[in-house]
Amino acid sequence: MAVAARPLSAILSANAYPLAVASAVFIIAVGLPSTDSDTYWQLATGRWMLDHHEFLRQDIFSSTVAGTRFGIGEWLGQIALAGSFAAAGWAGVATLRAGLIAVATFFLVRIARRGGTPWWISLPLVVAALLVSKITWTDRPQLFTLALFPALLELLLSLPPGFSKRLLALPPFFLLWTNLHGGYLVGLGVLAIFAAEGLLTNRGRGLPLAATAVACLAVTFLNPAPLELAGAARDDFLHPPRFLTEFLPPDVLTPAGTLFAAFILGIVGTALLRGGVLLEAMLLLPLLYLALTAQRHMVFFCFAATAFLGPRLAALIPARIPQLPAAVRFPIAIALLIAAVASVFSAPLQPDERVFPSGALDQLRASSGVLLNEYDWGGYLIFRLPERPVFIDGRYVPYLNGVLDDYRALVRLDPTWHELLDRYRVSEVLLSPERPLAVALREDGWRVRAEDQGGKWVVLDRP
Amino acid sequence: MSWSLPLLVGATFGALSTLATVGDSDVFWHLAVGRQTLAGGLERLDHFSWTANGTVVLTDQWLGQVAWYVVYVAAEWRGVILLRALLVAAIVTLIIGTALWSGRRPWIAVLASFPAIVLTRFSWTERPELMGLACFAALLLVLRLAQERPRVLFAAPALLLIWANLHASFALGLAVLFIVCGEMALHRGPARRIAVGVIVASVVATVFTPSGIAIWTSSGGHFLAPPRGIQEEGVPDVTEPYGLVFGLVIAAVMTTALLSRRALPRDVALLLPVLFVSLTAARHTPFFAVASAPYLAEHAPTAIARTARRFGLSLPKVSAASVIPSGRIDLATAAIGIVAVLATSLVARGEPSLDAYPVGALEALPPGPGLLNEYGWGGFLIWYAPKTPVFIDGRLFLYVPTVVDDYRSVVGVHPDWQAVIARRDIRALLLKPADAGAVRAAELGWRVLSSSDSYVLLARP
Repeated sequence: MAVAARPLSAILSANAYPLAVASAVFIIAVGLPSTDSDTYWQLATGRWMLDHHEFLRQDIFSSTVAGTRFGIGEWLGQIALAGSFAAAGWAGVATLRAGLIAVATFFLVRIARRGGTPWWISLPLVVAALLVSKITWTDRPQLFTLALFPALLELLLSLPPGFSKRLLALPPFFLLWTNLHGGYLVGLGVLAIFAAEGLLTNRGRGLPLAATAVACLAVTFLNPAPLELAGAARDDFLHPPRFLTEFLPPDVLTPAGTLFAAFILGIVGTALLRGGVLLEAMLLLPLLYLALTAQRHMVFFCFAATAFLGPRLAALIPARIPQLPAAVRFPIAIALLIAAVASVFSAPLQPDERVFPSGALDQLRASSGVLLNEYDWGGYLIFRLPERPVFIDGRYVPYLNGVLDDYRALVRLDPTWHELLDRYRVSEVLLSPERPLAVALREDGWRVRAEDQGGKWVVLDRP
Repeated sequence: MSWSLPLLVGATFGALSTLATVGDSDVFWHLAVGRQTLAGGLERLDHFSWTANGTVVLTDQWLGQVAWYVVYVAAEWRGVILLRALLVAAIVTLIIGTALWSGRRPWIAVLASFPAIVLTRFSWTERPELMGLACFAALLLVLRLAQERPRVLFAAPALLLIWANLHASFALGLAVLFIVCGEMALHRGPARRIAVGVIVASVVATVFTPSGIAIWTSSGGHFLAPPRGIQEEGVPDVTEPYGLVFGLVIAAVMTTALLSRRALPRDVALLLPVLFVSLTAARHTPFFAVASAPYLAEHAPTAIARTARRFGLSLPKVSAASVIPSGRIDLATAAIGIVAVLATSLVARGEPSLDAYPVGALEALPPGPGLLNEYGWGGFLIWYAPKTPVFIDGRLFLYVPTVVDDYRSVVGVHPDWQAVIARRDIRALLLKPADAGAVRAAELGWRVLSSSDSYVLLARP
């Protein structure tokens, strides 16, 4: 009994700091309401699969691409989201989100502490990396990638050369990740880099990791749509859809972008002064490229940079600030853990729907016909107004072959807008009053069925 | 050090640059301002638009504008092409020369400079901006030379005096000089007095402009709040060709820093601020590429050799330049280079490329105020249709916020677009046919005065 208890307490004591920070972050994250439009269609998709016990392989939500096949690359993530919603409503979704962010934080702290980096260097690095990651704290399957990426990184960074039992965890890890979210491709790339570096550096002793990497690659094909999955994820990385804010290149004059730039400058600056290792170059360069392609990918670079920045900063800054004694660390961690568990009860019971046209739902429910809606409100309508198929929504991929271009031509009032309006037989629009189309339709006598007093939305129908 | 190779490569790129025709929209208003300055002295109020007429304008590029106009008067568009080619040649020469000074291995210097040369390609426009880039490259050379002979730093205040009158990018130069001199003052005892003196003299030099002390705020808008709606002020995008080159430069510096020997604090002091500035906007990306070329020339070979050694590979040794420096040979090379640039400029296409502009609408433009024009065509209209003042043009900050808001409202058919037309008494629109404002105005009965695939000129009924 005593023999078994000692390692557990030792493990807990060694992880008191990561546990404490993860618990604190959980408390913050669980209190945030859902705000993202895509959450709704992810939930609707997961709910459909749970209800029907089959994969949803074709569109059932839109009027424009109904029946079209679309990717099911996040099926398990969608089911997990829908399951948490079914279990505890929006509080369940918030708890799942906070849990995944806490997992990410736990491993991020462990990464930041590599090489004995003191807390006063590792903690600001962790906080900065988490602030950069905030852009991905939306209730979507990408949260699973947020949690699994640092977990993988921590595992790989701590692996000894040669065979380790921990290698056996990687194939099931990738099997799970592949079915949760397309971000597994980044993980696979990272694994390939570690395997290549292991072979180059350790020669024969790098073989077990290389063999494991091959096995991981193989298991990623064990999913409902093996080839389609990799293709969709690859397109996101190589051809980011720039019309979506999260896919815009990082802007270093925004708060998150400034922190991202600080990580780049930190890596370059400390490397200029202290040098680095081959693994760091092999790992950080592709992740930097990825981060520069789209701001939602900044987090990968920042998480990985944390591992190398900490030790170099510790070497460059000679200050000595004492660590908290273990006897204090452990109770603090336990107290924060208990507080985190208790904070589940503070999870918001409703999402924040102020940016959505909630006031228009009753009006829309009372009518029929083809509805042309704002892109950003499509997911919300799928969930809140299932009886009215949407024109377009955040799943953008099914709409790439024509509908997205037509949508843009319509709302921007391109010369073909009359023809498109007739071709799609649009009888009603739900748009921002600022849209040129909304302005033109009003001028042309379309009736205002409902309008937000704050000027956020307007419902117009054909006269 | 022999300058023949940098001069040769510089002249080659200068000559190649003459293949590009003149055509940037801002060229035209810069020339118009230069003409105005030469004719009647420095004008501090706007006279080209009808929406900001009489408003105070920035004069931070007056010398550059005058220089462009002088060469235009001397040799028309071929003069403009010649000046551009000479500036390109100077920039390339300075980049390679600085890299060669640092690395001492000629072909490595050329290789290390190549990404910087490629990136500066996007700035090879006929604007004072190109002069600013040349000044930046010159400053880097001064800073490199000053490592061995600190007194060379005395050239910096003179350079900044000229730069501050050419283009607002002098602010970056002043900041870089401040940081590098500060580092020098901290670490190098004997040079401390020179560094402090140069900083003070440089700060004072930048005030000798028509704007006086206000010149320091003129570049703030570009560096701290770049107008993202303008393509060149957009965020660097690595999925675009220029962005990919920029990304490669960052990757090269990062890899070199990780795998080479440790750099000196002055390298950090120089590279980090310039990297941040370059990350802010696409038009700033050449600065980091130019600044990093000497570092790469000096350290990249070590990083490559170390990596190769680690994998048991042996690379051929690239020895330092053994050519005995000869001032005469350098002078001869410079003369040949200038002749080559001059000759190619003479045979270059002497007229600007106006394919992107509404040339066909010029005859039908109504004189006097009342025209709302496409933003990108403002400069063109200032030069080619002086009797029709513009609504807006490339002098963006002159029009922020009210004119820009009204422009967007009409072109984008915002809810108040008709009210803006009435309030401003807009009587004609010169827009692209697919602009919502043009589409809607035509539907509402505005008369088409002139049109083509690329423009439409509409008159209010």
